[in-house]
Amino acid sequence: MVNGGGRRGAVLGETPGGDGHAATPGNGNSGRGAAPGSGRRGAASGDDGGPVRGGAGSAGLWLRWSWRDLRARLLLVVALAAVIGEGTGLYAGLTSTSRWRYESYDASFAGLNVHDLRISVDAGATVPRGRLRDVVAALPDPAAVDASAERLMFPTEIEASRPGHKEVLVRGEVVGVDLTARPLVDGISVAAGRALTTADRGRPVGVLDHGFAQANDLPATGTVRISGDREIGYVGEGQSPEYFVLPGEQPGLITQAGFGVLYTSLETAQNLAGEPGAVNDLVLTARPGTDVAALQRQLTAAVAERLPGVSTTITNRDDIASRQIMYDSIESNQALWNALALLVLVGAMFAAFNLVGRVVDAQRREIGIGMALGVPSRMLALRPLLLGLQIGILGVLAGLATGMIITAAMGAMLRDVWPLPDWRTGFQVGVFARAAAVGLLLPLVAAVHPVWRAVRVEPVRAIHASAISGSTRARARPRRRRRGFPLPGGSLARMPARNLARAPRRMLLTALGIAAAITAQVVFTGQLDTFTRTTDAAETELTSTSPDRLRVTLPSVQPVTSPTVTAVTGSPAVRGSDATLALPTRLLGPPGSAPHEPIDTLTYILDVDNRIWSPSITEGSATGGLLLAAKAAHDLGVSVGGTVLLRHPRRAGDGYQTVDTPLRVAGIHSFPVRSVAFLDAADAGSFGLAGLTNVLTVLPAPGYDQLDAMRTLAAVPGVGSVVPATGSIEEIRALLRTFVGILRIAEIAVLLLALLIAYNAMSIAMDERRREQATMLAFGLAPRRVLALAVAESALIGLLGTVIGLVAGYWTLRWTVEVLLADTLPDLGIRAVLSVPTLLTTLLLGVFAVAVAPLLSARRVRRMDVPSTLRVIE
Amino acid sequence: MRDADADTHGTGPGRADSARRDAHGTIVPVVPRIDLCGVGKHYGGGEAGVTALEDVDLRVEGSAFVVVLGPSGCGKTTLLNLVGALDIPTAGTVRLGGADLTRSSQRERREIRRHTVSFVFQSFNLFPALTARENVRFGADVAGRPRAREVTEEVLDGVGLAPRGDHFPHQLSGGEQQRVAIARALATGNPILLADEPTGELDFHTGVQILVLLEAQTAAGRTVVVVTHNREIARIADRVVELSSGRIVTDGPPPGGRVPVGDLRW
Repeated sequence: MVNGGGRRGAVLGETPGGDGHAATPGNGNSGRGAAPGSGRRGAASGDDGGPVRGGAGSAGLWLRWSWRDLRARLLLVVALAAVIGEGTGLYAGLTSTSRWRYESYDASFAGLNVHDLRISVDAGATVPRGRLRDVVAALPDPAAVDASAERLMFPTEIEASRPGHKEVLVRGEVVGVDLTARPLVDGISVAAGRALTTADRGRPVGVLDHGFAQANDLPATGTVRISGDREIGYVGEGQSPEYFVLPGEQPGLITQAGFGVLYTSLETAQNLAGEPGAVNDLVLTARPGTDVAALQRQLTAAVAERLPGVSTTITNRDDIASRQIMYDSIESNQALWNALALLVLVGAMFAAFNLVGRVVDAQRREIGIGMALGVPSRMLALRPLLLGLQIGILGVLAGLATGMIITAAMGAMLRDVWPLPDWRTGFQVGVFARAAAVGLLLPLVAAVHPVWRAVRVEPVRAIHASAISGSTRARARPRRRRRGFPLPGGSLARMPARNLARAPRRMLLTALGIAAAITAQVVFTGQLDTFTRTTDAAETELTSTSPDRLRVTLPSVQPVTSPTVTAVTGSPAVRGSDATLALPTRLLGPPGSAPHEPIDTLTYILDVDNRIWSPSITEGSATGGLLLAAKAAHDLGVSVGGTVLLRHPRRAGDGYQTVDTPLRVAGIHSFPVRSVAFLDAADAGSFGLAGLTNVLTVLPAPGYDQLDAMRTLAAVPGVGSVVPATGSIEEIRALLRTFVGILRIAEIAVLLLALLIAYNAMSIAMDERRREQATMLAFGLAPRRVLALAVAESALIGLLGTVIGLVAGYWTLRWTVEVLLADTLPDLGIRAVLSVPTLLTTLLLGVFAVAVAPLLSARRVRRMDVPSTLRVIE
Repeated sequence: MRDADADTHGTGPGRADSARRDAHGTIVPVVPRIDLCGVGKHYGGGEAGVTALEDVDLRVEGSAFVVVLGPSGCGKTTLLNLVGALDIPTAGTVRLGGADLTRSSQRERREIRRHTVSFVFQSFNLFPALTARENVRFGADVAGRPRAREVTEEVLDGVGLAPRGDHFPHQLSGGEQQRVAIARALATGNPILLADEPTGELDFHTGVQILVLLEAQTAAGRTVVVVTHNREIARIADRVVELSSGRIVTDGPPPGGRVPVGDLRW
C-alpha cells in the first residue's frame, strides 16, 4: 500500500481546513484551553480521556476521511467485500437447502394427505374390494379414522420408448386408486397434463410418475406398455407421496429413471391385473390428535379378526421408504454442508484478516502522526474501523447477492433432481441474517488487531514506519540479529523469497487464505472424484463379465422347474441362464458381540462357478461362507474368517420362517453397496431353499440385443421385471445426484473465492511494493522484470498455499467421506479418492491463478510515474 | 572542474559508460556529457498548471561534483529526474552523451538508467527484504556487470560496510543505510551519480561521512550531482547551480571557493 503522500497529503491537507482543526490536538488544545502536555500524555499512554473531547464534534471529518479512503480504494474494498460475500453467500446458500427441504417435504407430504397407516396384503394376494374398509369400520373407534382408501397395486414392466428417442423399458408399478374416495389419501399431484377424474374409472388411462417421466424426458401425455403387452395412455404426469423418491432394486438405493409408476383408477388397475373387484392395499389418515400407535395396534387386531388367513403388513407413515430417505438425509447432508461452508468461511476469514489487516497496517504511519499530534487512540482507531465497517457493509451486500445467486442455482438444481409437488425455495431470512452478521463482523474483527497493534507502537516508530507492515516487528526490535539466510542466485533471483521471508506472518496468512480456498476446492472436487470412482468401481464390477446380461425378477420364489422359469430359460431370446435366489435378509453382526445396527441386505444365493457372472473377491475366497461388501464388514466390525448372524427366511413346510443363522464371512466382494451380499448355493443348505429361485440371470441369444431380449422376456407370463444387470449403477448415480449437483455449484463458487483471494492478496502486495518497484524502475529494470519478480513471489505463495491446501484438502476429504458421508449415504462403501487430474489441475490452478494475479497490475507498473511515486512516497 | 579525460563521449543511449583505463591501468568510467538546453517542465494545464523548470541551460562535462541548490519547490528534484532519464521535459532538450533523452523511447531511457546514471535517494529506498550485501548486489545485477559478486564485495568494502553486509536495512542506522544506497549506486559502475538530498535524513556527523563518500567518487572519475537545499554542502562542490522558481539564478564555483568537507558546519 502506498504509504506516502496520498495519505500524508490527506493528513496535512485535511487538518488545516474545516473540521480538521478540531481533529488535531493542537487545535483541540488551543480551542479548549487544555494543557498541551495532556494531549501528548494521552497519546503516549493510549488514554482516550485526552484533551480532544472535540473528537465527537469532528466525527464529520472522520466520516469524510473514511469516505475518501473508500473512494481511493474502491476496487480493493469491493474485491475484499466480494471475498467475504462469497464465503457468507455460499454458507447461506448451502444452509438454506436444509430449511427448504424440511419445508418442502412437509408441505408436499401434507398437501397430498399422506397416509398415517397402511395395510398391505402380502405376496401378490388380493381381497375383495370393501374387505379392507370393513376392517377399518370394525375398529373400536372408527371415528378416529379421518379418511381411508383401498388400492390395488402390482408390479409390472413399463415401456415408454418412442421412435427417435432413447429406449425406456424399466421395472415399475401400477397403482390403482379409488377416485371416488374423499378426501383422497396419498393423493396425486399433477405436474403436467391433467388429473384423473371419476370419468376415467375403468378406462385404459393413467397418470405417469412425474419424476420418472422427467428423468426419461417423456412428454406430458402419451402411451406406455405394461407387462402383458398392454397399452395404456397417460393423460398427465403426477406424483404421490410414496413415490417422491423412486426405490432402487437394492435396499438403500434409489433410482430416477429406472422405476416407473402408473397411477390409474382402481377399476382400471383391476382390469389390467385381470382381477376385477380385487384390492390389496388400504391407506388411511387418522383424525388429528389421534394416538396413531394405538390405532395401529387396534388395526392389527382388527385385521387378525376380520381377515383370518390373509397375510398382511401394517405400516405407518414413518415406514414410508421415500419419506425415510428424504428426511433422514437432511440432517446428515446439512452436517456435510456445514463442514464445507465452514471451510469456505475459514478461507474468507483468513483472507479478510490478512487483507483488512494489511490495509490497516498501511495506515500505521498516519496513525503514528496522529499519535504524535496527541489524537486519542479511540479517534485514531475510528478510521481503520470505519474502513472495516465499509468492507463489512459491502461484504453483506455481496454476500446477499452471492447467496441469492447460489440459492437460485441450488433451488433450480433441487427441483430438477428431486421433483416435488411443492418446492419451497424462498429467501431464508434467518440463515441470511446469520451470514450477514458474520460478513459484517469479520472485517471489523479483522481490523481490531492491527489497530490495536498500531496504537500501541510509539509514535516515533510509527512515523518512521515504511508502508510495509511486515517489517514493523523487526523495527520494534531493531537490533535483533536476524541475518539473511543463504540463497542461490543474484539479488533479483533472491528477491521473491526474501520478500516472503521478510513478512512470514503475512505470507502465512495469505497462504492460509489461499490454502483454505484450495482445501474447499479439493474437498468439493475430491468428492466428485470419489463419487465417480465409486460408480466406476460398481460399473467395472458389474460389467467385468457378460455385460449385456439381464436380470429377470419373478414376483415370488418358485421352483426352478416352474412354468415361468422354464419359459424364460427356454425362450429363444435366451442364450444361457443362471437361477439365483435374492433373499431379503438382515445382517446382525457377530454372534455374542455388542449389538450392532442391523444392515438390511439382499443376499444373492448363486452358483459362484457359473459362467455368466459372479462377484469379484477382493479378500478371502468365494466359497465357504458369506461374501460381504467391505462397508458391511467394516460397519459390523467383522473380517474375513469371522462370523456374522444373518436373519433370513428358511423354508418350513409350505411356508417360510425367519431364522438367525451364524455364517462365516468367506470373503469381501468388490461391489460398493453395503446392502448386497452373496452366498454360494453350496453353502446355503441350511436355508432349505435348494431348487428355488426368484431371480434369473440370463444372456441374450445371438440376434437379440439387450432391449429385444428384455421385451421378449417381459412378455413371458409370470415375469415380474426384466432389467439390465447394470441397473444398479444408475441407482448409485441417482443417489449421488443431489450431492453432485450441489458440489458442482459450490465448486464454481469456491474457485471464484480462490481467485478473488489471490487477486486481493496480490493487489495489496503490489501496492505495498510500489516504492520498491519505483526504485527498480529508477535503476533501469524493465517493467516486465519487475512484474516477473512479483509473479515469482506470487507463485511461491501460490505454491505454498496450494500445497497446504492439497494436504489439508485430502485429509478433510477423507473426513467428510469417511465420517460425514458414511452417515449420509450409509449403504455406499465410499473411499476418499483424489484423482491425479484433480490433483494436477488444483496444483496448476492454485499456483497459476495466484502467480498471474500481479499481471492484473501490469498496466499500472508499466505506466508508473516513477518520479511521482518516489517523491510521493518520500 | 576536473577533466574526465573521456575518450568515448557520444555513445548512444544504453551502454554509454564504456570504461577506460588511466595511465596507471586503473579502470575509470567514461563520463558522458550532460547537456540541458532550454529545458522547461510544466505540470498540468491552464491556471492550475505548475511550472517546475523554465528555460534551463546546463552543461556538465567530465568528472565533477555538482551541487544543485535551492529552496523547496524550486525544481531541483525535477532537474535531477530529467538528467536521470526518469522524466522528459515539456520544452527544450536533455542530452546525455550523444543521446537526446527528449526523443528517446522508454526503453532507451531505461537503458540509460541501467548503464549511465544511478540514484541515491533521500530516504534511501533500499529493498527491505534484501540484506545490505544483496542491495548492493542489486546494483551490479541490474547493470549486468560481470563478476557481480566481486564487485559487490569491493564496493561494500569501499563504503566500510563489509562487516554489516548480512544485515537487513532495518538493522542498520540511517547513515549505514545511506552508505548502502551509495554502494548500490556505485555497484552499477555507472559514471553519473545523482543524489537527491542524500543527507536530508541524517545528522551532521553522518551527513559528513556521506558527503566524503560522494566526493570521493569524483576522484574515481564519476560525475556526482547532488541536489540539496543546504547551502553549506555547496561549499564542497566543484560547481554550484542555484535554482529559484525553476530558473537557474547562479552557476559556477562556490562563493569563497571550494573547501574541504571537514570545514562544513550545519
